[in-house]
Parts: sequence; structure tokens; C-alpha cells
Amino acid sequence: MTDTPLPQSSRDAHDIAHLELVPRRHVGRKVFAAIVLLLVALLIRAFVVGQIEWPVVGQFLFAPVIIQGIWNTLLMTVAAMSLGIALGVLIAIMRISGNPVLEYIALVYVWIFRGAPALLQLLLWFNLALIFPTMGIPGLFEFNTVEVMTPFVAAMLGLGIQQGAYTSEVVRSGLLSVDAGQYEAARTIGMTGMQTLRRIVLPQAMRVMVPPVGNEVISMVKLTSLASVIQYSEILHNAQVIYYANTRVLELLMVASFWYLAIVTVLSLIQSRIERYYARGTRGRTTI
Amino acid sequence: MTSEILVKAVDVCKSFGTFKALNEVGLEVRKGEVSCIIGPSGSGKSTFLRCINLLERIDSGAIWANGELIGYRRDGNRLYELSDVEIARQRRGIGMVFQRFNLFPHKTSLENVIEGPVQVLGESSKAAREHAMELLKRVGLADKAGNYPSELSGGQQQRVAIARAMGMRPSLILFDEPTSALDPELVAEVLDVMNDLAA
Repeated sequence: MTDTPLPQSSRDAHDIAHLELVPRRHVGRKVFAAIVLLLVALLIRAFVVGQIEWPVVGQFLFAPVIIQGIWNTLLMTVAAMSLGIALGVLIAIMRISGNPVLEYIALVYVWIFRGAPALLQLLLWFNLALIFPTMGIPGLFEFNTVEVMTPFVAAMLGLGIQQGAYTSEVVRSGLLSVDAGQYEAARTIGMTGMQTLRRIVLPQAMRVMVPPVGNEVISMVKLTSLASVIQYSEILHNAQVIYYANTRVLELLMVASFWYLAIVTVLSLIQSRIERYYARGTRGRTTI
Repeated sequence: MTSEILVKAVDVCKSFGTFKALNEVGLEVRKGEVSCIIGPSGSGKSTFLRCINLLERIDSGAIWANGELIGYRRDGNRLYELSDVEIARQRRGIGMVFQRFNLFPHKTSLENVIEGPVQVLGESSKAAREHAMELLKRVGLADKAGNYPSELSGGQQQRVAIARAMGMRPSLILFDEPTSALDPELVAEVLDVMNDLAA
């Protein structure tokens, strides 16, 4: 019951029907926002008065070594993610191929490469020469593993191959999201399995796959920092090289943080653009 | 004079687990005939149609369509299963229209109709387009050629689906309850198109 029962006269009801409507006031939200702002202000103050030399941060923000690191980070993100997506699509198709041999290969791939930390996998690739000093096909060609397994190659393989295991699950869920009737309709016009995938199923699966793949790209930007451990000169590695020399540890870490955040911000904007493109015709924003 | 036999099924059996959907079913359809399979729901009508173009694999028996044994190759006293590519080739001559249309949602009406002719039959895009426009005109949807399925009513979608099946120039079209997902007032337009084809 509300405190406004149905009035006896229709005139009164009419009056009530024309009163001004006031939306619910969210007092709690305002108080909460104020508390959050206060805490943020305290945090900022702590960093300002803390023992960080902000001018040093500004001095190294655009240092050539740091800029070079940004390019290398972007390059590794593109290289490792390309490898990851290519492997992911391949493995996902193997999983649904109906060929038990391919299915088991795909299962084992995901099991192995999802089963070890990315950092450990990087170290394994980088130190491959310890097990296989030379690689190749006997009689045809042969090379020294150390020469080929540069930090770039090791990082790309390590990050890309483990990423493929995760991306394959994203691609698989995209393929499963396409209605079985689409596979059947494609078959009835005489398409083979590969034609059906390429022309009918994958284009539709894209809509489901884009948000999680975007998420993985952003994740990969930060994962590339692991490559600093094997001497790949990306942002974090180059920042470390500088602070080993000048001992401004926190200042250089701030510089690196700034650039990672900047890259991720740009990528997030691109991601929401792409998502909006694929969400055409579906319902708008949802809140609980 | 009787025309050639288009479909012949002999002793076709199909089970789903312990449920026997088809038990020694036989059928003979000649060119130009319109045959209807009727029966209560769950009696295996759809399953039988789907066996004819190999969307379901039969457990035993044999089906011929367009003069070819479907899905198998005889060698001596055994029937050997055909490859994916050969099965795809056999399906080209058998059109199918589904209860739920199954149009490709990312393609326009025209693109739905030309997809098979261009990708599977290797027709030139120009020839396929001309043929597709003829077919869309025939089902009364020439003005919807550029529309996506989501922009069409159920009856219109089903008519595009019929045009898509016709695009492959099949000698046989299977209709699996083509009007049961439609509102009553849309059934007539689809039946009209089917009558036109049968004539």
C-alpha cells in the first residue's frame, strides 16, 4: 500500500495525475562518490609528497630508449597475437572437425600449453639450445639453435603458442554459437565442410568472438613485459636498463606504467568501436 | 508413359539410440510428381527427408536420388561410404527448404541465392545474379533483393529460402514443414510459390 489511495472523486484523481514526477533520489550514491573521491585525493597526495622525483619521470617519458621499447612492445603484441589467433582458429576447427585424430591433437595442445605459466614457456623456448644445439632436417638444412632463437623469436613463440590455447576456446565458443541450421543450410547447397566454415559459419561467429579476442589483445600488451626476462627490449626491459644505471627505480617504473596504460586505453577505445560495429541490430545497453 | 524415377528408397531404417525413427521405409517419386509425407509429429517425416540428402546417415537400406545411390559406392557385395566432397556433389542436385528458413543472416536475399551457384557450381557472379533476380521475381521479392533476412517477414524469408534452393537448379526439392513456423496469414504466400513451382 502507498499513502495515496484511490480518491473518491475523479477530480481529485485528475489532480494527482498531473502532479510533478520526481525520480528516485540516490543519496547513497552521492555519499559513496564523495568517499571515493576523498580516498583518491589522499592517494594522489601520498604519491606527490612521497619520495618520487616527478621531474625525472618527465625527463624519461619520451627518452629514445623508452620510445624504442614502446615500438618493440607493440611489435611483439602484434606478432604473438597473430600467431595466437592463427593457432586458435586452427585448433578450434580441429576440435569440431569430427576427426578423432585431429580432436585429440587439439585437446593435447590446449592441455599442454595452458598447463604451464607463460614465463616458464618463454624460458623454455629461449633455452631450447640446451636440449637441441642444432635443429633442421638432416641432409637438407641445419642451423644453430642459439642463432635462431633470438629473444624476439623465443618471446613470439612462447607467448603466441600459449595464447593459441586460450584463443582456440574463444573461437570454439564462437563456432558453437552459430545455429546448427546454418551448417545444414550450407550443406544442402552442396558446400563442403571447409566452404561452410569459411563462407557461412566464421563470419557469423565473429560477432561473438570479437569482445573476448579484444580482451586478449589487451592482455597480451601486458604479457609482453614477461619478455623482459629473456632480454627482449620492450618497455619494461628498457626502463630496467635505465634504472640499473641511474637507480631511479620507481621513477622509471612510473614511466613504464604510463605507457602501458596509454596503449591499453587506445586499444580499449578501438575495441568498443569494433564491438559496436558487430552489435548492430541487437538490443542496447543493459543494466540490472 | 511414366517419367523417370527421381527418388527411390528401399527398406530404410534409422534409429536414434533405442528409438527407431524409420523402420523399413520405402518410397518412389517420379519426375514432375509432388509427393507429401504426412503423419503425426515424431513419426519420422523430417528424419526421412533429411536422410534423402544425407543430413542424417541411415542405418540400413538404400536411397537413390537423381539416378545415383546416395552416400555410398558399391564395390562387390559391400557399400562404401563416400567422401565429404562426393557427398557435397550429390547434394547439389537436391534442394531443401527448412521449417525455420535457415537463411544466412549476414547475407542479403540476393547474396543468399547466389552463394551456392557462385561458390559451389562456379557460376560467374554476373550469370548467378541474373538467375537469382529471376528467381526472386518469381517468388515476388525482386524488390527485397538488397534486404537482410532480419528485415523480412517470416513468409518473405521462406520465399527467399525457396529461391535459394532453386538457385542450384536442383531436379528435386525437399520441403520440411515449410509453413509450420509461419503466422497463418503468411502461409498462403508460401503455398502459392510452391504451387507455382509444382505446376
